[in-house]
Amino acid sequence: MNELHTLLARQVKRYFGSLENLTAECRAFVCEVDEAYREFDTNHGMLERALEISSEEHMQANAQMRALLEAFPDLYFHLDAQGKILECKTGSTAAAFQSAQTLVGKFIQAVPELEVARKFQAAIEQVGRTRCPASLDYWIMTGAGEEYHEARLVPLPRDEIFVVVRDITERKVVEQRLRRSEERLQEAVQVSNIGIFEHDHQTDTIYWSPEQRKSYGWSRDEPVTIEKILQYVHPEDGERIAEAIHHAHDPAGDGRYDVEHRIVRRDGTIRWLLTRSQTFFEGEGPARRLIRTAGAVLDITGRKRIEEALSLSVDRFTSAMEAANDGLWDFHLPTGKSYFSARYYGMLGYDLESFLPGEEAWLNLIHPDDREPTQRKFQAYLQNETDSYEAEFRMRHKAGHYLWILSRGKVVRRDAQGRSLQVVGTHSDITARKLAEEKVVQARDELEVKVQERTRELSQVNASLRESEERARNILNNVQAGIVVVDPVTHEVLEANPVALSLLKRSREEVVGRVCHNHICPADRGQCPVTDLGRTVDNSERVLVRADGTSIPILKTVVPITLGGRPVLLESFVDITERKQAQTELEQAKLAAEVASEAKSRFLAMMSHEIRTPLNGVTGVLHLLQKDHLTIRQQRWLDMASTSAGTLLSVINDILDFSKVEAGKLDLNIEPTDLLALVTDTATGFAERAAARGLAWNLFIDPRVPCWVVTDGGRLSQVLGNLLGNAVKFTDAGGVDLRVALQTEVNDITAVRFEVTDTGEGVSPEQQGRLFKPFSQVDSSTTRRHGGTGLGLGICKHLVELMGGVIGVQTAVGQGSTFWFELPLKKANAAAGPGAVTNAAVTTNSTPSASPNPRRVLLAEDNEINQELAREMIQFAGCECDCVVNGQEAVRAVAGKRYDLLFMDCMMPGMDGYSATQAIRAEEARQAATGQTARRLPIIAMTANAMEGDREKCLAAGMDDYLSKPLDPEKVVKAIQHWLVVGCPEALPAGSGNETALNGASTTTTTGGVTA
Amino acid sequence: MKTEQRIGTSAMGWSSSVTSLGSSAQLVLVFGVRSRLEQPDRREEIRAAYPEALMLGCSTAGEIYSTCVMNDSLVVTAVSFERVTVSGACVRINQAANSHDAGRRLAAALNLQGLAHVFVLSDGLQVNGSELVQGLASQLPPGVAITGGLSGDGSDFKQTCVLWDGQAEPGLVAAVGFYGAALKVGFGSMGGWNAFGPERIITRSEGNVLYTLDDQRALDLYKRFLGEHAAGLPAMALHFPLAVRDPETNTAVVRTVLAVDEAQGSMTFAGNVSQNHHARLMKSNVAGLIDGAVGAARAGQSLLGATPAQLALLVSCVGRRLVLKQRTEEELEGVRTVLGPETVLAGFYSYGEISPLNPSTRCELHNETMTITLLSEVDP
Repeated sequence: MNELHTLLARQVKRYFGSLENLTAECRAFVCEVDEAYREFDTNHGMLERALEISSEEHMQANAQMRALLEAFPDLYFHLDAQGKILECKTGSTAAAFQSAQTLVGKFIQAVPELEVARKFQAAIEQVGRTRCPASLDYWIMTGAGEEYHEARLVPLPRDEIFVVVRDITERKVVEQRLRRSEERLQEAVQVSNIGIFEHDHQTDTIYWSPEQRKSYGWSRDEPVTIEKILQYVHPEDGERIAEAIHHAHDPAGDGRYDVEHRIVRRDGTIRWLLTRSQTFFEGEGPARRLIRTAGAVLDITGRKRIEEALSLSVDRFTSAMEAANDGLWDFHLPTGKSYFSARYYGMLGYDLESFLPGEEAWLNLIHPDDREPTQRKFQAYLQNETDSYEAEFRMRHKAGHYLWILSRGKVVRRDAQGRSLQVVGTHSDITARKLAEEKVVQARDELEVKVQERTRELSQVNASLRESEERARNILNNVQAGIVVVDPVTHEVLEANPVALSLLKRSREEVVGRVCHNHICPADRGQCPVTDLGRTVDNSERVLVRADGTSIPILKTVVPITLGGRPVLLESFVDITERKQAQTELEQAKLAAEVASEAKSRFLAMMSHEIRTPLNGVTGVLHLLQKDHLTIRQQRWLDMASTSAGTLLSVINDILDFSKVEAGKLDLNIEPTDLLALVTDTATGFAERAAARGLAWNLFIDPRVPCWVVTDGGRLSQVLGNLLGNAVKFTDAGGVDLRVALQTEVNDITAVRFEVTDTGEGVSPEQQGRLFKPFSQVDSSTTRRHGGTGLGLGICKHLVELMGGVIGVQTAVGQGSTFWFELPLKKANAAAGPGAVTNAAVTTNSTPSASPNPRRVLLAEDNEINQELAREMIQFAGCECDCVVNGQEAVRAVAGKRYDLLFMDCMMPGMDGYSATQAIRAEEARQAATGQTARRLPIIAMTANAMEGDREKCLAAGMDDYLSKPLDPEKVVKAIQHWLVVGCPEALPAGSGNETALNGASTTTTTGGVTA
Repeated sequence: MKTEQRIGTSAMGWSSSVTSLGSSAQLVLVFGVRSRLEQPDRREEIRAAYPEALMLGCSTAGEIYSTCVMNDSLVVTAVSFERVTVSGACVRINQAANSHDAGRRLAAALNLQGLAHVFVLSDGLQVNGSELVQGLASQLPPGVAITGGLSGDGSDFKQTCVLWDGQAEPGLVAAVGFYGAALKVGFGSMGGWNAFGPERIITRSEGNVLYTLDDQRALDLYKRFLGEHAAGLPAMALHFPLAVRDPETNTAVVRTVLAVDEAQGSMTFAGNVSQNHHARLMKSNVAGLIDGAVGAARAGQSLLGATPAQLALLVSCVGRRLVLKQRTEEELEGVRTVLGPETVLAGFYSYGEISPLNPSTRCELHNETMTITLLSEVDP
């Protein structure tokens, strides 16, 4: 035990002598008491120290405050709640009050000036009420003159108030001076009608003076933004302004801006503005940046209007003169100065350089015979002897000949005495008129002579005319085409030849004199194509109505001619009945051929479906069998059966492909593809087959070959697989090499060569020619030995060419073969590839395992065998499976129970898969639209329809993915994993309906579960 | 409401091998030393005794068994309600920074329909208790209070664990929700410390780390006040917590010093110390703390009115134990005096207490308090 607390130890000694004399309980009790003593001491010590520290800090704070107060020149008061001064410290402003000694105990409101006293009273009341600081300021007379003071009142505890009074006279004076100068500037600006603006580029704030706003028609509060200002710019000035701003904001430039431009105000009025500004920069070199633009804007609309009006009147005058093709002259008589327009001397063959202006020059160019009378006329007018001046005279052209000129003039200015000062006039070239006048006179003389000559000729012509008419009639009667002549106005037939009559089976009397379109090309009155509709009829097919009411097709040409001085229509036509018949037969034959072709395509599609359905059964059963424990013998049979089924499937695919090739319907599905993965994936299967046949196998990939390219990966793999398959199949000893090499590379296009080399029998030159033709194998014996359709290489050739490449072979008998093809491939960005996300999307469970909550899958399939198989695959993927056999049942099942996935056969009796899907989607959309929680059920089509376009049809019906039969168990499992993991958007927003559905569908591919 | 208590120690095994509640028990609270709580056999024994019960608990810095403070034991309190139902939830937290989120997640996991009260037990070292409580409270219906505490680890401060169902692991936060109008709840939280010296403004802090008071290094100031006691830092800090007052709401919490950083002059507390709040040093003595515990019990009882408390869950701070030392049980006796002999007392010494100071204030994390939750099932 420690020593007892001294106080307690003394007591114990006094009462008990020693602690030893006490019982154990008492000793324990004493210990507790000892603890209490010590605790008390500790507590006491802490309090003492706290007090000591607090006082120390208090004194320090006090001292600091006093020092601070001393350091400032201001006056301080410490007031009670009523304003009585408890304490004060004098400062420079104290003179306004009284000396410190006399202030204590008085009221601050007792300041001599009444106005100031009132302010203090109000502030003291305010602080007392709100317990918030208050301030006041005032002018006051002190011994030093008039001063401006500012007083701040701050609440202290116990309702006391602390006041600081500061002399801010200087600041106030400067402020006032500044304000006055600003006001002056403002006035000046207002008077001058100049708008002022400033743009602070750093804060992007814009100041506009009221004048500036007036130009734009903006109110004082209208916010100013660059966007809005630019919206006001007249469209024709926009480009100019943009350029000027660009120049002004160029850090390397002088920052000047000086532009006249228009703005279009809100009310549609246009104003002309002259803007001058200066942009200021800061910093040097690349760090140089915009700081501020300041400038002035002058509204110059008035000036512009005058300028425009002026320029318009000048333009109008000039164009009037030019339109009249007149020359202009202008004499200033006292000085002899003159002006001649370009047309004036141009008329005379002169240009500006060669023409000497002046009255002399004018007189000199006038024909000597006309000079004197012209001058006389002119002078007479100037002397006011005549009212007007107008003269016709000849002037010499620079080329030497003379022109007739009509000169008109008018005095435009006179002096006070009425003397002419300025004469303005025009010159018109009237040569043509003068010549015409002369010719009229000449012609009148010649005419009389000619009339006599004509009279003689006329009698001769009449005789020859009769002859020619007879000739024409002969032709008309014997030509092997129907000809009629029609009056274009009355549509009366004027003449019809015998062929026309026989085609019409009518007599001449029944035709001639009647309206033409009673028989020939019947048309409603007023609808004749030639006369009424203004069309030309040239080798057109028309109809002829015969007397017996039948009609025959004719080919007709109509020519307007003049016959006997009157305009008529000459119509000629031939019977084209036979030709028409032949044409009709041809069209029917074509239609029949098309129907047959369509039937063939349908047959192919059906065959494909019909063969795939049982084949699906066969491969599926084989797959299921493989999971059973089999004897080695059984296993071998099973492998044989599997191989045969696989072969059968590839034969069907070949035939389908070929039928597409034939129909030109083979389309490529171009997308970013991992080329290296494609090659290795494709090769792996064949490497195994080669090994099984005891063949050597080599794969060389040029490291320069790009990994990601844009191509149809499926088709490329098909070609490669075909070549590799052939190589492995036709090689009995030796080996097979696959080489992938980069040929050329231009920008992002690479030419890649694929070579498959084998050590097989080789191909003879004559056989080589047939290699790439369909249905041709090297010889029929190979077919018997190796099977196959003989379509493979034909399809390969077509595919390679479709992809823009070439395919070929190098071979000789006994030397093996190298089949090769080259493709131009565009490099792709790896990130763009759908495969880039593929691996992430397919989750880790590549082997399906029973999940704790099995997902529920609905299977709609009518074929019993296929139903059984698909169910096995779905259950193998760890899902529970319900089956229905048609569309109605599928729709009902989905409505009644929550499924995670639906496999939908497309062709089912009753409601098919497409209709069922549409019904399910419609119900989902309805639920979403009515605000219920709607989820989109992933639907995967499962169909034996493997023709082009089937996939699109499924997606269009609202399905999300597509698997073709025979079902590949791996693809089924992958698709289940994909759609259960990725799923569909859980809830459809109300009203979004099918749109989301289609977007979702467009990102999937037929392979199932390989996209994200 | 029927309750039964058992205590298990390594020396003596279970205090009673017979249980009367058995599968009628709906709730089992287990407070114990971490080493025993972590033994799967012990947990299985408890589970076997109460197969139907919701089981939660935590490691402690001392178990409360009636008015006794136990060390190295497991105290099991089984409760069977007649009309009240319980349901629980548990979340895992991997970083103290996620505490607010953990609180929200915990609330989301709880059934909020008809919820009357929440009792929460959290890991005591990996969780920011202030944030946890705020996150949890933000998601609860108004009027539902939260009480509980942060688990302890003796006076080692190494690792704590929370028991939930069959597992006892660090990093867990477990809560039990009580449902039904038949439940009456009272709670009170009081320290019994008194502040002394001038109040200072927290001029710089981040989360639960205090850097400066009135722009002076917090640790230097603290040491000046401690005088010769400063030599006993950081252990001595438990005797001198800080009162942190929010000037806006004028409510204060007590904050215990967990660690000091001599180099930075900073102090780390067992809860947030917010910048611009006012701080004042606190001290206490045995009498003050025992008065505090009695005050907490009175506050709780006043909420129950005349209804006697059937079960009292006591969460008291480890710091109090360090001050009270051998007189610790006197604070439990003080509580017993207020509540009467019939009330079952259970609980533990903690690294932090959770409760509103009174029904009108929000739930907070406290240090250095006795926090009492009183439960009674009454006839409708």
